[in-house]
Amino acid sequence: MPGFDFSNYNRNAALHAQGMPLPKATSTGTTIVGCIFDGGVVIAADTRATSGPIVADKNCEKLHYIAPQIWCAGAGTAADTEFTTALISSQLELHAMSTGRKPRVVTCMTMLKQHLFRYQGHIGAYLVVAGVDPTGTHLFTVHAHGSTDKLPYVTMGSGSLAAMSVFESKWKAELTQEEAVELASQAILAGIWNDLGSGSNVDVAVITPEKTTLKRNLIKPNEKVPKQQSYKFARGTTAVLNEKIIKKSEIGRYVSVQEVPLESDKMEVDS
Amino acid sequence: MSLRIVPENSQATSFSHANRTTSAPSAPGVHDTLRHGVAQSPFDAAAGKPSSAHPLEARLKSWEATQESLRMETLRRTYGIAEPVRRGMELKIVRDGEWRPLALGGGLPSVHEDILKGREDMISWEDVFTGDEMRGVPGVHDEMERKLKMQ
Amino acid sequence: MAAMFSQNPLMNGPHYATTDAPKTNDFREHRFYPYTDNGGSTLAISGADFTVMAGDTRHTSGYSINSRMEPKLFKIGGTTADQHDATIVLSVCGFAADGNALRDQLDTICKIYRYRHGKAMSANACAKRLSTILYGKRFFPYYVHAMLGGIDEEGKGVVYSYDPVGSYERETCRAAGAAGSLIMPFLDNQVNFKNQYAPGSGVGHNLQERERRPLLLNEVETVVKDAFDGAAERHIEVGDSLQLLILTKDGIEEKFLPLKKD
Repeated sequence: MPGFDFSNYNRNAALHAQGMPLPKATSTGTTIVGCIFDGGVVIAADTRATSGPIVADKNCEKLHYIAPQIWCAGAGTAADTEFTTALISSQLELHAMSTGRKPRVVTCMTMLKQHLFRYQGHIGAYLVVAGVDPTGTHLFTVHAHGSTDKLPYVTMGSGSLAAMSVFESKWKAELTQEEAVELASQAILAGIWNDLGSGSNVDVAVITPEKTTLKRNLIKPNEKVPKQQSYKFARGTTAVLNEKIIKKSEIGRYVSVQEVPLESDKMEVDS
Repeated sequence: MSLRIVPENSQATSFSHANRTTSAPSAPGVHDTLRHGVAQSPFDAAAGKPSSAHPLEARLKSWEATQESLRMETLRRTYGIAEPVRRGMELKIVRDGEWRPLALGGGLPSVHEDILKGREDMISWEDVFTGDEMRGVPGVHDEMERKLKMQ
Repeated sequence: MAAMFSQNPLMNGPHYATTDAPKTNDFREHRFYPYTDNGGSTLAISGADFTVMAGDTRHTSGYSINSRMEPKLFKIGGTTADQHDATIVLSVCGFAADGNALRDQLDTICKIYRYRHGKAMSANACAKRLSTILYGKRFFPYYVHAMLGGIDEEGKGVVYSYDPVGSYERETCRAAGAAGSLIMPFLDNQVNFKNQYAPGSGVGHNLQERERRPLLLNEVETVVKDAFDGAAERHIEVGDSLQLLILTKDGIEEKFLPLKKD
């Protein structure tokens, strides 16, 4: 049947009742923020992905492309934010081609909330949607159950309180682009330092009517400390119980070998 | 006739293996691939029914139908019964007029059907996860024999 | 009760990826649960004539940091409250309030011993006493993984490691707490030279294991710092500062080194 596959649900429920734990999804216990300035909007995110108390990815990307002038920051279950934004991006592109107009941020937000509402919060995507379209600059948040907000400055994720404290003390109605980038970065840094679910670097995307600028790793306040000594092992430290050497000339007996074309006739790739 | 927007909560509170035959008696609830193939047959009468007691599945299965009946009910109240009937007939004509073998993706909505339903500019998980890869595709002869009621 | 600190995920209760945890219909049991986990990690290594004990100073609950400077290592059994002449160190990791209570109790016992017998308690005696204290709360345990470090009667470094209800063992090295399972394999390799063989010493099963020797003090300090830097990289509850206590026959030296703060 088309759509999501539920066929293992009853089996898993039976296993769970017998004490088997459910698998843990990678969650981006995250700090994400957005802020409108005069002439555009900026969104920012930290780059830590966690799986329980363990850091799963120290430099992941939480700013997702929707359309050239619409970007999305995602918190919650990593796979859900990734797939939901990808699907809505495709849907918005189809819609833009069908109507022959540039996609609008409200359209994107409406698609997201309708999609998430249908799944009743089982898709755990918490998003900050930002963009510039012919009707102006827009900034929204979308929660996993489908509720939305439209605000001049927003924060989401586990570090949202830390980040919001920065906005509440430093935000003002008129901001320049530089000020907005600085304010959003400071908000993310508050999350990085004070929320255990957030960490590593600051990613920022600036959207103006002219262009979108993705500033990946704009601030890197958490460079790894170099090790105090080398942990290189002398060759031969690892025990070898068995050794078999296959000569290059005999390799055809184990795998099929095909000559790779020379540098002159390169493989054809999408440009 | 109601103006319901979302499907009502028809989720089964219990799940019985007794009326389902695709699991082995020794492992109820688990689909038995050796006896019944990798997944349900598309001809199976149970294909449209939820395969689990998950609260979401029943909702998603009846989502489109609920929305469609809301649209048709609105049309009926505005223009009279002729409008939904006309649309229903058009849809039936388009569905009956086009046929693709299951092996070539038959059973999925055609582009004409999508246009009549106003979904030609939409993409959803049902388009991404078509369920093809989990289904044993019957041979075209088998399918034709069924279609022409020779079996 | 050892299961409380087991690293086996099956033993630590189900982790719910979704919200549909099994519900008990209609009835809800109200319970009082007095324990919390305050995160952090500790580590102890004993050498030929010294013991190094270390722990991070972050104090957490959930995703919040309660304090960036809340040491988990305590000097025990000195003559005065400032513990300037203490010879034993207790490290506690897990529920910090229980850790403090345990430290106070053990310190009091050591002081009473000193006044009664006119001498400091030996590491060996203190270790046994700590075990007895922990087992005394067998049915309402101190929710901590304790370690005791000192110098034994022969002048060798000692480390004792405990489970929450008093089972203990003398060990050369041990990592405990949130990142214990991350650090311990590293110590097995770098301190006990596990899984290392002398290059060229034989073929196949005749290969000789790398010769085991006790590490020197500076080598231990390097390994400890690297272990905690690594743990702070990958465990969210470890960071801020590293508290290092070096026990020798001359007394206890205390150091604080910076760790990552995110």
